[in-house]
Amino acid sequence: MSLTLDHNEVMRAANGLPPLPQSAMRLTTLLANEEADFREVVKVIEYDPSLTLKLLKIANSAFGGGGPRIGNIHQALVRLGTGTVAGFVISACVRTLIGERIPGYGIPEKDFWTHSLAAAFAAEAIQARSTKWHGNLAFTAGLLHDIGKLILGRFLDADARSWLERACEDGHQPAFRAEREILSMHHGEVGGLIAQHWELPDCLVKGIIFHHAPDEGDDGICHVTHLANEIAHEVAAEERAKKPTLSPRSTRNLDTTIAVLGLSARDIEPIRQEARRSLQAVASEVN
Amino acid sequence: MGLGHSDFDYISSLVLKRSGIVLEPEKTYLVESRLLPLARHEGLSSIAELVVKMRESTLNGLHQKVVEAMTTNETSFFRDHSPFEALRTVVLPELIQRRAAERRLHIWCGASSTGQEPYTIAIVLREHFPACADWNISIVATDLSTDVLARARAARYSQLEVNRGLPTPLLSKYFSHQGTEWVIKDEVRRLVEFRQLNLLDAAWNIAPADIIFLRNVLIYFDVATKKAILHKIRQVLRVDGWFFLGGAETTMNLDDSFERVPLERSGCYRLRKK
Repeated sequence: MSLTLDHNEVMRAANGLPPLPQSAMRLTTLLANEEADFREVVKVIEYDPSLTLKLLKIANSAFGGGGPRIGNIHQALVRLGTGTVAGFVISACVRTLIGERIPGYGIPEKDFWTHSLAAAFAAEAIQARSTKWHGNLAFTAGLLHDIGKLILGRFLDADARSWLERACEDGHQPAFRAEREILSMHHGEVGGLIAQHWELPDCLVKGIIFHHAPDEGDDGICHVTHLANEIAHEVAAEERAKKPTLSPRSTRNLDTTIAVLGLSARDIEPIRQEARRSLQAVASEVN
Repeated sequence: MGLGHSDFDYISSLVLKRSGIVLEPEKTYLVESRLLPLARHEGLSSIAELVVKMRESTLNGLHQKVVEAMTTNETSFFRDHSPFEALRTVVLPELIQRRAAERRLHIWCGASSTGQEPYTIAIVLREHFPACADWNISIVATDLSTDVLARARAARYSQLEVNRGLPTPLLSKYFSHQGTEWVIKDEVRRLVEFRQLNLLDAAWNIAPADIIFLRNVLIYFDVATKKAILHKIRQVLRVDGWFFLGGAETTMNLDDSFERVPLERSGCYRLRKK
């Protein structure tokens, strides 16, 4: 057992989160099925009036791509796509759990959410260009990939934060490996526990757990969340700087992921641009 | 308060002597992260106090706790996939053919930590080689730490642990859900025997093995210890046996009796034919 972090306490905290509303659970279960029944999806959303209003607002925003005003969920689903709609439904539920700042990680709520949304849009753009089909839930997987930070952050005291920082600097390793070394668990794994507590489909659980180590996940969705996370970091950095990155980062360390997804290195820049455009278009509606 | 040089040297010497694990000075943060919680657990306020207590007494349980706290027990079911694919598609089919007359297989899993690796091997055998059900198959799993051996024998795993690489169909087939834990079913559990063994010991009480797993262990040792361990592996591995190392490990420049078998990224080796 790790004395640095009580894993049982972390698991109890993940399982202590309020359950997802029935509509969100039903929707993700429906969409996990490749041949999701469109009419069923419409029914689930229409059952929740506040959700319906929110989605109509998003569909009629710049993100929806303009066009005539729409007034029902059927049209919203056609305009936004079922996967994106499911993501927004989940996001509406999850946002109530986030405080002003993610404790332990020191991330302001707005930054956390901007990164999550950027990853969701990147995941959707990846799915659109990938030669492989990763299900209807790429957007939601991108959106929730860092959800574990909400719980793990509660357990990171000043000592733990200092060790994690030094594990990155002195140990020359990325933050998730540092978590693994110091805490014997990482935020992806905690996110997986939350997704299981919420009874989300297996593909979402995997996409969240393995977003930093997709080879361990043995499922294409893990590569989607991995690449989406990398791209989202760049997009969020651009947003903060209010200007595009001049020289996109090398994709060398993403070679395996790019190959598994059936993409080429040339696809990365358009995906990044698309994620950035979508983020800007929807920002005012979701913030 | 940070860890002083002399305390770090004392701890790193103890850990090296007892377990062979090399702690470089840049790993000071790791020593602090593992030993400050241990010191507090022992009612002490700092690692400095922990070291004073250790220096005052001759070898006692505290020294062992420190060594165990510094041992990395990272493991998971089906860790890295490739070795178990190699086991399923090449290694076991070949060995089963070769041992058809004696109907006996002996597998040794060294530094087996909390048991996920030997149980994975047992699951592969049960799942893919039902014809071997009446063979005499023994999987011996060893580790230095009494605590992790106790956990391995209990065969109880948290949701977090089964999430690390265990495919859902195998989880429901070979585990039962008890409270918040998953317990390995007897049909798998009885295939594995756990024993305490320090890889630094002069002699290993291990029967000649058809397959040896010693993955992600050598990386923690210095060159002399790596060579000594590989020398002993040679004595335990049967001439037509198979030997698995971790993905970042190699026998190259350490022991030329082994040759790598190109099976994806399985880290699989065999003894060179003389």
